[in-house]
Formats: sequence, structure tokens, C-alpha cells
Amino acid sequence: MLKKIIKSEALGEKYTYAKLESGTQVFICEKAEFSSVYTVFGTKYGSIDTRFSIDNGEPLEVPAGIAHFLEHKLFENEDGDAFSKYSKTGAMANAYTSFDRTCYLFSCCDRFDENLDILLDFVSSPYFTKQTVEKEQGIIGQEIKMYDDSPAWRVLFDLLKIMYHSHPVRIDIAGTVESISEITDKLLFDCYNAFYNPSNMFICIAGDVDADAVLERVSATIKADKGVKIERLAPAEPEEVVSNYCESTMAVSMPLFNIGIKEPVKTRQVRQFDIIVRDILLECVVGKSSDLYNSLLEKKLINNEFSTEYFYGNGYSALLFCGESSQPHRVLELITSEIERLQIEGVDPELFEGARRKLYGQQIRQWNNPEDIVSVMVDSAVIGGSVFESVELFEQVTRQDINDCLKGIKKENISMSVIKPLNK
Amino acid sequence: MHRKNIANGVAESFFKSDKFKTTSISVSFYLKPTAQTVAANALAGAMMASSTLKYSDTVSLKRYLDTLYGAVLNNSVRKNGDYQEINLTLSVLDDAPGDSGCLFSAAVRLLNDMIFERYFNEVDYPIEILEREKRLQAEETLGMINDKRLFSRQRCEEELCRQEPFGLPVLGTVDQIEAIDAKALKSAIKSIIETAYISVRIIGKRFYDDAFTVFEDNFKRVKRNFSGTDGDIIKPAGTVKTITEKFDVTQGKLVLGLRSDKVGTDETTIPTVVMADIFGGGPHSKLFLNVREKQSLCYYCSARPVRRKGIMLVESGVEGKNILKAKEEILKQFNQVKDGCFTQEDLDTSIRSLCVGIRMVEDDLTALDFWYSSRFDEQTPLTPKQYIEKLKQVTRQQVIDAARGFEPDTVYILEPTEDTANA
Repeated sequence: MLKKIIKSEALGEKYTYAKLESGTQVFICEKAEFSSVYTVFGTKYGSIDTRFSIDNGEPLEVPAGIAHFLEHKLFENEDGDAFSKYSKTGAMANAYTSFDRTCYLFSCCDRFDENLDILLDFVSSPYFTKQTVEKEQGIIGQEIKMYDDSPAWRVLFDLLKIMYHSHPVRIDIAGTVESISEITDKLLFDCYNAFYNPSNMFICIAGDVDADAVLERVSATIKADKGVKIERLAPAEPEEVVSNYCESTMAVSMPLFNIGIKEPVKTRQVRQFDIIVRDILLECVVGKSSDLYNSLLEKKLINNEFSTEYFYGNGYSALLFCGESSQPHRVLELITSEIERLQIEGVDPELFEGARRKLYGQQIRQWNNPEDIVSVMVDSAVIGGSVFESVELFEQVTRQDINDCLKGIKKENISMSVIKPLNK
Repeated sequence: MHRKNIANGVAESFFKSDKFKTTSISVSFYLKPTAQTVAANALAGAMMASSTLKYSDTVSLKRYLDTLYGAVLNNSVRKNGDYQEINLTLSVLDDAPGDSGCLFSAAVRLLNDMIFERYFNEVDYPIEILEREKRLQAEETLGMINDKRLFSRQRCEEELCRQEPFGLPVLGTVDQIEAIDAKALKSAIKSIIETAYISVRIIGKRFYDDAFTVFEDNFKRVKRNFSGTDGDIIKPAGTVKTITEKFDVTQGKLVLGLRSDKVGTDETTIPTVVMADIFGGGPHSKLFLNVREKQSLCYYCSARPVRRKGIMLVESGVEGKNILKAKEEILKQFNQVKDGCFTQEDLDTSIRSLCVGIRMVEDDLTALDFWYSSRFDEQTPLTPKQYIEKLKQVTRQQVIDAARGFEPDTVYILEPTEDTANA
């Protein structure tokens, strides 16, 4: 087992990193001052992993939503469900699936060892039958319908569909009622065997724990298996967007918009440095301290719902601008003009420094409680690099990095989706 | 928690904790709103957070906050029983590069300037800021409909508590917001500074004697006209009323509002909290296990008591054709709790789970602030640890008695139109 302790002078924090014999990565931040412990056992497997091959075998294409379905089903074992086991220890358990990861988690204030054993056990013991799969189709069908009624969710996926030709990020994380009806117990086992092998998994823990004792426990439980070679077979994605605009209607108070700038992806996984550059760029273009943001407010073009995000993962990278507006096209026009201006003039030094400080502050805030600390460690496990890397990178990033990134933006790769109210 | 009164109806509290990397400075104003005041009260908070005389527009204020290593300013309006709570919170890093307490002092000064500068100097807000904040508040009110779960809960609260402050929309209606002019705003700000109950809370490891002195000096200059806090309207359920509204959605929402005539302090409602958890708390609850897992009727179906009001809301997302079936099943499960059809293990499970949730409050700065904010009018509020001790003493009979105190009062149904229901 490889083990090292990684420290950050800037943060005054440290954590233990280990790579078990089985290949599982473990991140542990000992925080005796907290009452609770937050733990995630995750796999680098999400909704975008719908086409893959195992050990150079035939390509396998699975129904959309299967990673999320698997997440639901893993809570159920032959000897009962994990929730009922946690109810006996008092831990609070949950799970989530995103585009590129599935995470199982619990938080507790005592009986940590017992809770960890439950987590390791249920995630490692798949149990699916025809009957249990059918029952879950009903529950997940309700969940999908709930998201169908969420304008914020719909406007995002409408945008992704016009930005991406074939990348699976364009498909809803939970799939559709139709796609999940194709899921069988056999397909669940196929996906489980491919992506839940120890070398594709990670454990992140923060709170009042002893790192050495935890490592001993997980090493004894997670055994090396024969190893699986997974090849993700995402179809080639052109640099261009599918189209620049789409609209639909829903029961909303005023139009919702999502604007996306599609970026070419040079490597499968983005680097932490790329993330920081884009976060600062978004602040400089239309962050709350920018002239453009305030001009949009004064012109009554946006409201408090406006936000920006750097949206990235395996094989996709985009800058997003989201909000509500009576004139979404005017917002698009002004954001585009501002980017064009900044491509020529560069970002304002004062705004750059303000953005850098603000985002540095956000990084520090993430060390305020066990849940947020684990969230940073999970990102590090999936993206790579040290947990502290981003804090250190804030010192290194320059205005020139932001200006270079701005210059790479192509106007023709800007798309917008709009959801209009039904009665207008 | 160190707490002391610094003026008539103004209390300051300091909770020292070394575990966080930030310190939070929070000021809450508590008022019982009416239909005439609710919108203006909410707007008053937004206006205070919009600027100071030195940072007289939003851009300069935001840029100043950035220089303080992203000091986070939050302005929120929330219901606290029948009270409307207007809150301003500033949170700053404890250890920024080159800082030795300057961020904290700057934050204290800024928050005081936001609250007192214009009030003492009788300087009006620029009309463009007033009009902007009115628009933002009106659009937020209208936007409530975008989240059907939240919208349905709010509609149920409105119908359940008609003629009560709790039933008012927390930001007011669009008409009420549009009617606010500069004079009405000035009057609202004067009212909240002079007549509201006010709580100033600092949580973190940073503490300087002069922090509270700044607040104390300012409050000494205010002619306080505070006449005390009073209890909330608590009444038993009436004849059950059902409100059905049709929307173009694929999934319906069902919200049941139940009432009891029990007073809503911690001491009296702890058994209700346990009862609501057994009924519809986590994955071990009757609603989760039966309505969701066994019958696959809903993706979510949960119950939660409303502090201070003797109310419990049961919320679910359910297909249109299953709404009545879900309602029957929810009431059936509730009657089982009333009849004592739960095991000692169910009771122990709920208490264990609630204890973990409450112990975790002390690990979360925002949750800790909210804990004390929601107990604003209790002279010696229970700490999370004391609350846990009381939770552990709840008996089976107390849970049954708590359930028997509740009866359905209001049923709110957001029903899909036929076109979307069949889609």
C-alpha cells in the first residue's frame, strides 16, 4: 500500500492519501474537533458511461440512466436494505449519481467502524432480481417525472442537446421512462462488474477518525480482484455545436435561459488549472462585481436567479450562463459583445485580482465542515491532482492565462436554450 | 453561548468555536407581519444589503467584498412561526493572507453601516436602487411557481393559515411590492430598527471586544419602541378543506396540512418531532417504507412539523391518477401512529437518527446560526446537546399523544391537466 501525508501551509490542513493493493484510492482528513464523520465510497462511473468495452471485448451499449438505476439498486442486498442497517446505527445515509461519478455516503457521530463496514459491504454486494428491478422502475419513473417538471433541469438538458452531437452528457442522468424500462438484472451486473472494480473506486473521509485504523480496516475488506480494463467508447464529438438556439414552453413565470459556450476538449479529463482559469474568467466577464452584470441588472434583463458555471467532465467542457429574463436574446447579445471586447482589450486588472481573492476565499470555506471537505477530496479523486492543488494554483494564475482562454472562445460555438411561459 | 441584552428587545450572542475557518456575523429582525407590511419589511432587508453611503452602488459594494477575500453577504427573509425574520449575514475568513483580524473588523463596520448609516443620517436610497430591488423581489415572488414542490407547500400554508401571519407569502404579493414608494420604505426601515425584536449573533473563533461595542453604541442611539414578543396563533383543525389547482405538469403534488393546539416551544414539541420522524422522517419512516417503497406511489413522501405553529405538513410528488390513493395511504399510516402501531425499535431508530442530525448542527456554522435564530425569543434556548438529552427521554406514549393531537385541516392538490397527465 502506498501511503503519504499531504500538507498545505496556506490552509494549515493535512490529509492522508493511500492507494490500496486493490487499487482503491483513499483520502482521509482527520478533524478531531468535529462531532461528525462524513464518508463517501464512490466509483468513477456516471451517466455518460453508456458505451464501453471490458478487457478489449465487444463494445457494450447500455440504456441511458443505468448508472443511476444501479445506485438505487445497490442499497438493496439479499439480507435486507442498507437503510435498515443504518437505522440501527443512527447514521444518515444517501447516494447520488452525476455525469461522471456515483457516490454512496453516510454521516455519523458514533459507531463509525460499524457504519463503514455497512457501506463497504452493501456497495460490494450487488443483488438484483427481475422483481426488484421492476419495482425500482416505478420509483425511478416518478423521479424522472419530477425532473421533467423542473424548468431549471429541462432548460439545461435542452441546451446540452443542442451543444453536443453525440456525447452522452446530452442525455438526462436518470434516463427516460422508456430507457429504464430496458434495464435488466443482467445489464446491471455487466455495468457493476465493469465499473465497481476496486481500482476504479475511491473512499473519502473527513471528521473525527484515526487514519491508520481506517486504512487497516479498508485494506482488510477491499481485496484486489483480477482487475478489469475498461475502455470508455464515447463517440467522436465535433468541435461545433448542433445548433445555436432552441426553445420550448412550460408552466413558468418568465422565460428561463441557459447560454453555453462549447469548448474543444484536448484531453479526456480537464486539469485543475483549467477549472480555476475558467472560474476566474466567468467572474471577470459577468460576475457580480463586473460592469456587465450590473448593467444587465439596471436594464432589467436579469434577476437574482442569474448564475454562471464552468461545466466540465470526461470529454466535455463548456461555460454556462443561466437565468431568467424577459429578453433572453438581448442577454445573449450583451454577453457575446462583452466577450468580444475582452478578447481584444483583456480583463481588467482590478476585477481579475478581486475574482482571484474571492475564489481563493471560496476554496478556504470548503474546509469549514466534513461534508465540504469530502466534496473537495471526491473531486480530486475523479479529476486527479492533490486536494490542495487548487488553493496553490490561485497564487500562480495570471491575467494572461485568462486572456489566452478568452481568445479561444468561438462565437459560432455559443448556443442558447429558452423555456417560455405557456401563456405568452 | 454567551448572550446578553444590549437594548430594549435587542440581544447579542457569541458562540465560540475553533473548528471553522470563517466567522459569521448575523443580524436578524423579527416582526409579526400584516398584509400591509410584509412586502415592505422584506424589501427593507434587501435595501440595507444593497449599499452603504461609502459603497453607494452595488458594484462598489461587491468589489469591496471581493477585496475582503470574498466576504459573503447574505440577505434572507424567512418565516419563523408567525414572525417574519429579516436577516443580514456577513461571513469572513479568519486567516486570509496578511490579515490579523482586519477582515472581521471591516465586516462588523460594514454590517453596521448597512443598517444604521442612512437611518441615522436620514438619507434616502437612490430611487433606481429602490425600483431595482422591487423588481427583483416581485420576480422572485412570481418565480415561486417554477418550483412546483415549493409552490405547493406555500399554497398549502396559505390555505391552512388564512388570516394568520404565517399564511402570508414571505415576500408579499406583486401588488403589495409594486405599491411601495420611498416613503413606505423609509417607514418600514424605521419600523424594523425601532420596533422589531433584534438578535445579533457572532459565531466563530474570532472575537474582539469592540465588535459588540459597535452594535451597542449604535443601538443606544435608536429610540426603541419595542413592546415585547408574543406567542403565535395556534388553533385546532377545522373542517377539512380541499383545494385543487390544475397545472401543465407531468407529476402532481399533494400537500396535507395538519393542525394541533399544542404550544410550539422545544419543551412541548420534542415528542411531536419524534412522532413526525416515525411517520415521515427518513428512509425508516412509515411513509417512505409504505407509500414509496411498497406501493411505488411517490418518489418523495415526507412529513415535517413546523416549529412554533402546531402544524405538520406532509408533502408528496405523485402521478395524477394516484393522488387520492396516496392521500388515503398517508392518512392510513398516520392513523397507525395514532393507534400505536409502531415498535420500540421504530421509536429508538427515530431518536437515534434525530440525535445524529442535531449533533451535526454544531459542525455546520450556518446550521448553528439557524438553530439559535429560530429560538430567538427563548431566554435560555436549549443547546443542541441539551435538546438531544430531551429527545432521548421521549416515550412511546408521548409519541402516541402527540399524533392524537393532530387532525387534517387542509389538503392542497396540484393536479396535472389531462393532456400532460396522459403524456
